Amino acid sequence: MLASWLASLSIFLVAYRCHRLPEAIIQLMATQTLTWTLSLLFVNFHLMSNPVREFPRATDSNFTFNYVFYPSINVLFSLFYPRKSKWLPTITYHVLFAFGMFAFSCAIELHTELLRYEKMEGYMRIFVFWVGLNVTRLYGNWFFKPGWRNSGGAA
Amino acid sequence: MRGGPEAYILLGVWVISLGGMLFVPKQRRRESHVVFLFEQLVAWLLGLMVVEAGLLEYPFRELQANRTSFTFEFIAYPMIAVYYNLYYPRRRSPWTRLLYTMAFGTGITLPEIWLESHTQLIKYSGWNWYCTFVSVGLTLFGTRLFRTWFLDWAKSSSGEAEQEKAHS
Repeated sequence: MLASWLASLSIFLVAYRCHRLPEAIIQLMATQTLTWTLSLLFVNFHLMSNPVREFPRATDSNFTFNYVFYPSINVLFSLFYPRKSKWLPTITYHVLFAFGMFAFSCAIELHTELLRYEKMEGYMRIFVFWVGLNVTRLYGNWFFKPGWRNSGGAA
Repeated sequence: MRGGPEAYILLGVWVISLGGMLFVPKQRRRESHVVFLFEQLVAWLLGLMVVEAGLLEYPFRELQANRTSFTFEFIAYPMIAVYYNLYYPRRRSPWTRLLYTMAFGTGITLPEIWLESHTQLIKYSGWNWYCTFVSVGLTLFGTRLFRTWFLDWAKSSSGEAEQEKAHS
């Protein structure tokens, strides 16, 4: 759990070094909306459970993964998305992230009590991770599309 | 979730909040997105802490797995924050701004007191109306600070990065 916070923090340091912190913040907040809703729905309808969690009284859902870790992975995915590459590197990038997250969730499920998948098959989890990654990436594209400064309202 | 007046109240809150999204001026969409998302992440964390500490209870809930108020934290409160920022009197005196913030605090606290005594939607168990009043005031003003800081800074910093790219 601590490692998740550290990993997320380091992703933000990378974003800061690349002068892309605003993008990272928007992506983070957008993904949180998604992970918050989805994790609650999955837990509520018994697709998965979180035996060990940070707020056992307040929610049955995990907090760290949904609040910082998954969102930070999505930030990483969007920041280094190969915009100008050909189709093969792009597909490899998609596969790498979706399967990477899947492998991570398998390892966590196997070695800790943080995650238990009950009625969620592997392909479904990969699909959810992949859709999540891309929905927030496209949201970031919309937010920061050229000329956004003029349409954001006067600060 | 079963029927009853509570279900209709929650449904009404969703309809009003979603409807409210349609009336955000188009040229202020992005700014409102920043406020909405930021308020969600604050409300999510604070809501969890308050329920975990046993200060508030929500006997009637949308999702059984979640013992905080999802409707309020996810959509209602962020939408209130959006409108708070849309009509914020930024050219007026600090006293006017304080009064404006307190008016929003009152506007949330009064219905909450009514809901607390008449419905199962919220129960104070170690909480008080003035806790709501103060926390609402502080978090709303927090969204204002974050919004202003973020927009100023995002517009200037990513502008520099693009200029660097253009020169290299």
